[in-house]
Amino acid sequence: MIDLMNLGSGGALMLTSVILIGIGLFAVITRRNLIRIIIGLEVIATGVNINFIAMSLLKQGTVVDPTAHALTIISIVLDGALVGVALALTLVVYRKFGTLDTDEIRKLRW
Amino acid sequence: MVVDIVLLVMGVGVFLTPIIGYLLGNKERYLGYFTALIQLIALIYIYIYLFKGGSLSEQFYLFNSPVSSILVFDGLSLFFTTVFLIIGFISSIHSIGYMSHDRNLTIYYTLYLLMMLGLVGLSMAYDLFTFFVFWEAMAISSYVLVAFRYHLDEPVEAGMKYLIMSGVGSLLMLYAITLIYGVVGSLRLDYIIQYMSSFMSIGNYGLLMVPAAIISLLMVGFGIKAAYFPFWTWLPDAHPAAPSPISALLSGIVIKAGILGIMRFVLPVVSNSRYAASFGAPIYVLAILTMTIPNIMALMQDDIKRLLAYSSIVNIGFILIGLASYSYGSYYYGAASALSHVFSHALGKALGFLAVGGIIYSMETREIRKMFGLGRHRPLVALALTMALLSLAGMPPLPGFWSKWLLILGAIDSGLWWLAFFGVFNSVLAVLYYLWLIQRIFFAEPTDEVLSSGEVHPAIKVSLIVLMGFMIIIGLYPQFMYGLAFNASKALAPLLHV
Repeated sequence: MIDLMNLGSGGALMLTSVILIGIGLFAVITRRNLIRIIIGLEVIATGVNINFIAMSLLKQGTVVDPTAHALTIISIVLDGALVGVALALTLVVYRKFGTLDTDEIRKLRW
Repeated sequence: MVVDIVLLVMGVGVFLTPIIGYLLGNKERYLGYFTALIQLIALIYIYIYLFKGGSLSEQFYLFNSPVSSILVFDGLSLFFTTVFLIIGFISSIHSIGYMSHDRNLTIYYTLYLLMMLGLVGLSMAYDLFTFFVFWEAMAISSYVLVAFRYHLDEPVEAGMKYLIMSGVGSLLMLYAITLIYGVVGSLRLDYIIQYMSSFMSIGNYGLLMVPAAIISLLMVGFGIKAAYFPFWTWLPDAHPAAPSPISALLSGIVIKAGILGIMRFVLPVVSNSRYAASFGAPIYVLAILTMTIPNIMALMQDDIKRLLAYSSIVNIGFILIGLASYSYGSYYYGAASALSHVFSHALGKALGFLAVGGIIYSMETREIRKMFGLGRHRPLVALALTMALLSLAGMPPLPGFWSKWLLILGAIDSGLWWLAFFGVFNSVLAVLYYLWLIQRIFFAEPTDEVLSSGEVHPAIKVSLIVLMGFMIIIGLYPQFMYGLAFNASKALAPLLHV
């Protein structure tokens, strides 16, 4: 349980994570290149993981809670799997369509 | 001792599948039997456990602390595990026939079982991080399965689109999970409910922004998977592009994982606070939009899998009716009606996609115009498709009727007359294209494609007959479905004791 009015040193990290998530969402929504979109996904993932660490700093007490760090490592592994699949699919897309531009590979009605 | 055994059986299956596939060599298509067997063992084990008088409140953890990972086996787990494993079992029998000309089947069946493991784990996860891990296992394997036939254009593009949208959704969900961890100090559902119910009764409206933001983020994460308004855009592309057994899984059970997330982690929290109705109001609007717009889109489709995909979105809207009436106070009918619609829609839509799989196997087309007059030449497949469509339309002796009836009853019970009206209206609108399709399939003159169509693989026939038989049993004896659903809705309200 934390005091929401007094964020302390975790506040700066929380702000960082919000900014990173904003940048990532912006990239995913506005960019047309698949690699850039995947980089955007990774930036969101980084922001979320930083927020996890920030939240462990917010908990009151002298010892930092190790749970958040353990969970962050697991979530980094899951992000790795996601990006691996995404890059593999991107490779297939490039071999098939010869481009990474999402406007040009648009055969389906998006 | 049921949670760990079931997950162990599935997990051992996931690890054994590549080994057996390697040993089988070029006979790897027989892996389908192994996949079906693993899921059948898990399903039968659960029912033996229950038959022997096993309890429906089992918890499984290594050490009992606020931060430990915890799995439960309660009514909700029983309900969703049953649905997932039945559909998964039948679809894997179907895969034996449908995928018999494909290569890389070892990868296919490994990912298939991994997705099923993720789904079964989701239904048992009681803390948010365990939920997230199983969620990602399910999601990542489903991206690959959608794009499995990567020598074609459409699956690759649809898989990419699905991956990007769903990836953003699950990351936003993880962000909400981190915020819950910061606010509550634990990710376990019982701690979250306790904290939130005291937090929300403080009466400081500025602070209420925090749970509101968290719940909105969670609803976005679950909503992209469940494909309600406005997050459905990936669904009409991804579901038709996938191989038919995978379409049946995606439409039947994977989108229900989003509903499971809402039921497990959002509904108990909001219904134990004083603000249940202010959660219900957006759900009310979402339900109406999710039902109506895709219904009109479905009228215009000429691709049968795309039509069924739009109909899936419509049915997610129907399920949201149940959630809305639950948060407006109909504790008895609300959740149970949503759950029984999950059950009946999973059966109906899986049967629909499997029957379409049979059609694609014999005719290699998805255009509705080329399927006219199918009933006289491929009677079993046409009968299966008809039964699926009639169940989705809500014809009385089939499961679709029993769940839609309960949904309308729940909406009226909580006083949401407009929601009940839109539910009935959209049912009728959907009957338009279902009946048109049935009429064309049975009474139109057969096209050349139908006349030159090949024989359907026996495994496909077996899967269709098994699922049709199960649907008839549920239709004549809906107490099984209702019993599971009402049991599950009791597990939803640990503090309310309704």
